Amino acid sequence: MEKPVKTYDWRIVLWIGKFVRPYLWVIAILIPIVMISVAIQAGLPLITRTAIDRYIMPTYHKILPPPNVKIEGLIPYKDSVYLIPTARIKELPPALYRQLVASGRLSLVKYYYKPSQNLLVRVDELHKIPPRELFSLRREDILGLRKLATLFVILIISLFVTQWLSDYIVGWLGQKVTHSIRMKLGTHLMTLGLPYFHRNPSGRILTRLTNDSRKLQEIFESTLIVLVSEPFLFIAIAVVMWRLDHRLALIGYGLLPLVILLSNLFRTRFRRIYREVRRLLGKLNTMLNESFMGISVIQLFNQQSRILDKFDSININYFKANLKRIVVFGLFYPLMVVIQYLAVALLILYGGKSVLANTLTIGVLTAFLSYLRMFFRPVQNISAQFNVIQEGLTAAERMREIFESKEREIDPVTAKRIKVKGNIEFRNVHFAYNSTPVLKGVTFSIKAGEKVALVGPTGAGKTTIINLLLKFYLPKQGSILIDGIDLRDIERTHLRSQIGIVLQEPFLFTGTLRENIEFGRKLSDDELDRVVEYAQLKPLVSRLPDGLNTIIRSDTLSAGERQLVSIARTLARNPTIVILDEATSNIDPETESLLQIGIKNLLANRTGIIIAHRLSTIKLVDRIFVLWDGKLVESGTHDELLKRNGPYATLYRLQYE
Amino acid sequence: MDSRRMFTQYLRRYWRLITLGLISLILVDTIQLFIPRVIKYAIDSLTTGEATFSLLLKYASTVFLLAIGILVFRFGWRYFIFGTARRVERDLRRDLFAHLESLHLHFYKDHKVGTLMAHLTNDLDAVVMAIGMGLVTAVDAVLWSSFTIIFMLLINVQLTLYVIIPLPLLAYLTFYFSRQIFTRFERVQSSFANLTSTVQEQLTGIHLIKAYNETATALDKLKRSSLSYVSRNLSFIKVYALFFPLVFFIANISLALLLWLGGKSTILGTITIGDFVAFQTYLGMLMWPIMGLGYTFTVLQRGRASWQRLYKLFATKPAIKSPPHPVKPKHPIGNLAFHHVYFAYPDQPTHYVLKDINLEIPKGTFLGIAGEIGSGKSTLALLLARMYDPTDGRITFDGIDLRELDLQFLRRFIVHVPQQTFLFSTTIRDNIAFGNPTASDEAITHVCKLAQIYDEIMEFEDGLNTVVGEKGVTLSGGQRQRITLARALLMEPEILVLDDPFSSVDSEHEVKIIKSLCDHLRGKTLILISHRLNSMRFMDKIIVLKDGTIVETGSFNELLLREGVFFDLYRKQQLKERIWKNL
Repeated sequence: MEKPVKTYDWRIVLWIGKFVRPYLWVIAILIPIVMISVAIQAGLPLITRTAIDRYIMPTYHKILPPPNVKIEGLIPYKDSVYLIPTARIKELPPALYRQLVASGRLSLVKYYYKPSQNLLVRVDELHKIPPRELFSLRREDILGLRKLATLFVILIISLFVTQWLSDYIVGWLGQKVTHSIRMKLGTHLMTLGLPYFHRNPSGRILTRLTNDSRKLQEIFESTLIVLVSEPFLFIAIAVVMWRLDHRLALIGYGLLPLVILLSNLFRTRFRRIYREVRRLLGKLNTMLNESFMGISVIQLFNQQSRILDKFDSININYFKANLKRIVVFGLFYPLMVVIQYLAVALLILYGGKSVLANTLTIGVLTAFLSYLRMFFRPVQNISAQFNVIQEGLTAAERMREIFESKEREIDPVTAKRIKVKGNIEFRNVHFAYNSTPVLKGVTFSIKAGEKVALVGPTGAGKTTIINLLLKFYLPKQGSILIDGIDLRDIERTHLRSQIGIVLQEPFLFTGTLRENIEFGRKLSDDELDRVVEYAQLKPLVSRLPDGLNTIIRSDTLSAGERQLVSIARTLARNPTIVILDEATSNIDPETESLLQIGIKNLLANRTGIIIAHRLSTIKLVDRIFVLWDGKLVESGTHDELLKRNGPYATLYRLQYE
Repeated sequence: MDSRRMFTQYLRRYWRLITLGLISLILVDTIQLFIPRVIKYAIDSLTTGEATFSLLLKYASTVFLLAIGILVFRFGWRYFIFGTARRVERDLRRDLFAHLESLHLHFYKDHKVGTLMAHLTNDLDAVVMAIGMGLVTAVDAVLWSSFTIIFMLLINVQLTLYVIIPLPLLAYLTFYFSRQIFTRFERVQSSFANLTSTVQEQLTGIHLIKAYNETATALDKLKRSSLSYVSRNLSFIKVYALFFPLVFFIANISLALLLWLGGKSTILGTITIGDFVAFQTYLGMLMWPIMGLGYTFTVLQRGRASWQRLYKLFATKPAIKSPPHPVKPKHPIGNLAFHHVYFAYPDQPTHYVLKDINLEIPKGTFLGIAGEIGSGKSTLALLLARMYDPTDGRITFDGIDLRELDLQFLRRFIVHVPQQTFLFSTTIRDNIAFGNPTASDEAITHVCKLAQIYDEIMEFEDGLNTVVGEKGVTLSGGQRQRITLARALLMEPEILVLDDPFSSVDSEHEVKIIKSLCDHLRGKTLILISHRLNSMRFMDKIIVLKDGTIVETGSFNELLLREGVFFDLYRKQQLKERIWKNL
């Protein structure tokens, strides 16, 4: 179970890729949408920066450029005095900057500057201006801010739409892909022969189609979007930070190894604890289930308190594992928060120092407050997905294994599709499922339209004869012929479509009675009526609340009724050969008499092979084959066998005298 | 005890932990509020130029210390509050299990195992969720959000009132969406269960599908199930994919308002830049408790509904239990008697399965019970082990009504082996030692030999340590029956009731087992129900049941001489067996 996928990883990813290929166009749509959303997320803090640095608090410094030095982008103020925006100071070469400050040519006093009036006001004197005047002074800034706010609203609307779309598309894709894998798997399973199903526990196959496909679905639902968007978001933020300010970006880069280290450290812990929790929960549920199923044994043996103790010890272990999970999670997330605030503290320290040196604006500082918070999140998110990916790929690998089983039912290319008349011949047929022989040379022939009963104790080989006739298995030795043609040369699906079978324990699928009778064939109402009548189903149909449209399950009908439905199902297909495995369980007298008529109708004008348990049914047939220990020990008509005074005769007398 | 008192009782046990958790939670909420304030001071000092490196260092170290505080107390509340929720879960699960174990057999006929499992998993989860997450989000929603808003109001009243306009919408949306998400997710789950049962059915019916050549129909059905699962999922995704982007959008509207109105106030000097930045941080913080407000309602609602269901289970009283003052005979003999016993199953109160049964079974009797299916044989056996009580009449043990006896004593004295064999998925040894876990290997070997299963067990690679069931070997019906018998024999019962214990064992084997059983049980009482009448020859007395009444009584030979019902059944069975043997 714990086997992690390693060397096969890429092969499995490629295998999944095969199922994604039809939806490449979706991915082509998805990627630009994700890119837009990433760009907006990375860009939003820049709006705050611009708002602060350009409109809320645009600051300038007086500068007297030295005569031999050319400085780009200075605003001429008065005489030889120029102005330089605070944001541009850090672009000055450090040597020049030091020289300017030392010589007093660059003032560290911050000014507010209004270009239209060429008006300069010291920033710390702005608040002394009366409100009305301040408003008119800063009118242009306020208008600019409004434009910026409008842009912000447009961006958040676009962000909302792109996030919504991408989440939906990814979910949709996951559904489509897993659906197609499920169907492909189902289709493949249906081509496999019965031996495969006998060897593999149905529970395991079931898990592949259900739980495993769900795990794979999770990769799409939660992982795909993270894998597509988070690396881009991470890079985008890293780039923006670098371009805004190298030194402050280094705070983020510097703390990154710590974040990665912590995430990795905790990831293995998470997985271990998660597995432990799930293992114990599974154990708890198994025990619950078993205790409820075996409640009578527990009570009869007075074992309530012992079982309770056993249950409680698992319960306590489960609690402990959960507590461990709380501890680990309780450490991890707050630790991440501490790292974030550590970044904030460093930002205040170094950023503040730069602001004091006028090499950083407040706007950029504020933007960094947001960026440093956002920067570590993609790392955490990607790390959190590793376990999901691992589980999903393991599930995919298990699903892929089913495709590798080659026990498909394949007929030779020369196999014929013949219209069966109904002559059956067994020639010295031997068969064994494993090493113990079940049939030891059985020879008989049945003419078209003839009805034959197979009689014999359990294990005599009756069911095997049926399995061979349906070509579920091939004889180990000898041959089976239908209308003189070897069964090996007849296409099995075509053959089966002409054989009807009523099993001893008829299996009904959940669905309406009508669906169970039709079982894939569409019948007109008239045809259906006839089938219901022939199969003696009328009383049942009238008893059910919704008649033919009542939803039934195997356990809602009695054994006799199920057999009647099964007869109807066979009649609906109008087969040439009918196989009937009679029910052994007790059937109430009324159903019994209906069943007798139903069976008679079913056998009319058809070749019939009946595994008979009731001698009353045996009376319906032309000949009787008595099987014992894989051999045919006696055969003949009812009268012949009675005259021979063999085992059959004794058996018959017993029942009827 | 009413449902609310019972619930608070579970919580009250952990009031210390809850208090510690709440204190930690409140501390975290408060500390978190101060960080934006520190940032505000730092920024303001930078704009006014008062800042010095040492001042900045002071601010930076304050932020870091506050963050350490958050680490400690956040860990604290998670540990205390989530830990309490898990403790309550543990206690509840244990108590529920213990309670369910005590309930009578009929309860399990009314309640499907799947439903009970759902109560013990889903409902329990919902209750835990309500205690843990519910408590935290409720506190956060009330305290944290009001603290934050107070801090914002302290900075600027007007601006605060503007920027919190979208927040009630946020709370409502969370409330609405969390309910939608829960219900839609439940629908996904039920459709997944449906998909599972479709696949399961097809795997069970694969023989038929192949024989009828209907793989296409089967695949079509699979496709429909799969597609309906897909469409339920899509309906879930539709809501889920909308939820978070929408929530962030609403929160961002607050930020847009701040950018515009707050920016304007900063320009006009009503607030400082530090205030502006602090506002931004506060708004980011406010989002979670406001969402929590919406979420709390849903979580509490669901937790309440689930608790009601659990409470209903707790409120079911066991119908079969020891009386308040049970009789525990000091020197029990074990004479049983039925006095005019009538019985009808609770779900069909008018249909009497047993009618006026009068029967004495003195200690040491080997009693055989014969009769057709549905004649009441198994019911009679169930009444003896007090799995049900008679509807009318009495069954006595040494003259004492079974209902007055100590139940444990009774079931130790009488061991009943039901018709349906049930083995736990553990080793054969554990299964046999189920009622007597300390039994020695010799004792286990002995009962295995008595039940004629020893040699077959030894053929398994792991012998007695072979695991039974899906993870281990698949036993045949006959093997299961004999292991079940060995389990009963290990209890050394004074009265052994066997309900058709050998139906899957061949008749030769059966006779051998019964012979050795009878030798072993000399002096004890054996009550044997069997369809194979040949085994009845070893019984002292046989009763024949028909439609719930005793129609014939006597020894094996007496009944044969009488040439009645028993004789008829017996002769037919005998001849049939002889024929197959002679073949």
